[in-house]
Amino acid sequence: MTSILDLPEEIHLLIAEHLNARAIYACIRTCRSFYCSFIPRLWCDLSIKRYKRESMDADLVRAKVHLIEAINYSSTLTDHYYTIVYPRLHTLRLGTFYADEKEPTYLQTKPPKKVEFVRHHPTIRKLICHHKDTLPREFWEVIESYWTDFESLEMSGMVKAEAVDPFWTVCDKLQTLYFSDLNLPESLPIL
Amino acid sequence: MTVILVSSDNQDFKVDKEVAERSILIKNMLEDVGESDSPIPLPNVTAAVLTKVIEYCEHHRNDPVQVPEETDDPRKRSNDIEEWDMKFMQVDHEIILAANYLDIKPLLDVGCKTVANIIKGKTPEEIRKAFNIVNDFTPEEEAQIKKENEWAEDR
Repeated sequence: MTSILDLPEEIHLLIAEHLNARAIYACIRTCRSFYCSFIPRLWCDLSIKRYKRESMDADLVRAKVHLIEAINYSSTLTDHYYTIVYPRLHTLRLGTFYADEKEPTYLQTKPPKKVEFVRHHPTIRKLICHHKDTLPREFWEVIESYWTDFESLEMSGMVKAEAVDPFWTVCDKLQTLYFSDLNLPESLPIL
Repeated sequence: MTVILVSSDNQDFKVDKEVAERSILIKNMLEDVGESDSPIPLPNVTAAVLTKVIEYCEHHRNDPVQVPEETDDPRKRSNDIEEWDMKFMQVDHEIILAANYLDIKPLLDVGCKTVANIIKGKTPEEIRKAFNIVNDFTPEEEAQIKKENEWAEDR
C-alpha cells in the first residue's frame, strides 16, 4: 500500500504548484517528509512589506537566503534588508504599496544601499520596479556591468536626467521592456 | 492494431495501440522497437493499477495530444478537473506513480490536482488524518517551524 509520502519529491512539487502559501504552510507542519519536499516551494518567492512592523524579520530571511529565487521589497524596508545577499535570486520587485505611503519612515533606505544591493545580485534576470523613489545613475551603471543575465524590465515612476544614459544602455540589451506611467526628462530615443 | 502490455505480476493486457500511446513511455518504446508484436513489460506497474490506467486512457483516447504547458498560474486552474476524472481518481497514489512512470502527463496532472484539492483548507492535523500521516516532529521542532514560517498564514 503506497501512501502520499512514498511519492517522489518531484511529485510533491507538482502537487505544491496547485497550493497557495497557506496550504503549503499546513503541509510542512504535518511531518518531516512533507517539510523537506514543500519548504523550498514556500520560500522560493517572498514578499516583504513593512507597515507598523516588518512582515518578516531580516535575520529569519537571512537564514533562508539559499531558498529564495524571487523577492518583493516594499519601499519602506530598512537598511538591514538591503545588506542581505540572495545567491539564487532571479527576480527582484521593488514597489510602493498603499500602506507604505502612510508609514512615517517611507523610503528610508537611501539610494547607495540599493546600488550596493544590485551589485551583489548578478544573477537577476527580471526587475520589476514600481517605486516612488528615483534611482541614481550608479544604479543603472551597476546593472549594466554586473547583471549579465538580465533580460526583462518592468517599470513605472521617474528616471532622473542624470540617469537617462545608463538607463537606456541597460534597456537596449533587454528582451522584454514594459513601461507604464514612466516619466523621462526628455523624449524617447530611437532604439 | 493492438499491443500487449505485461504488468509486474505477469498479467497480459491487450490494448489498442492508439490507447497505449497515451503513455509517452510506451509510445517511445514502440518507436524504438519498430514493427514488432512482442509484449511490452511494465515492471513498475501492477495489474490492478494498470487496469485503471488503461481505463483512463480509453476514456481519453480522443483527447488532443497534450499542448505545451500554459504559462498562467496553475493555482487558478486546479478546480477544473473533469467530473469523470474526479470519480476515477479518488485518492490513488499508485496511479499517480504509474502516470509518472508511464509518462502520461494529463493523468499525472489530474492526480496532483486531486491531492492538492484534498489538502486545501485543511489544518495539519486534518491533512495527517486524510493521508494517514504520523506526526514525527518533536514539540520543539514544531515550535521552530511555526516561528519561521508563520508569515505564510497571512498570504
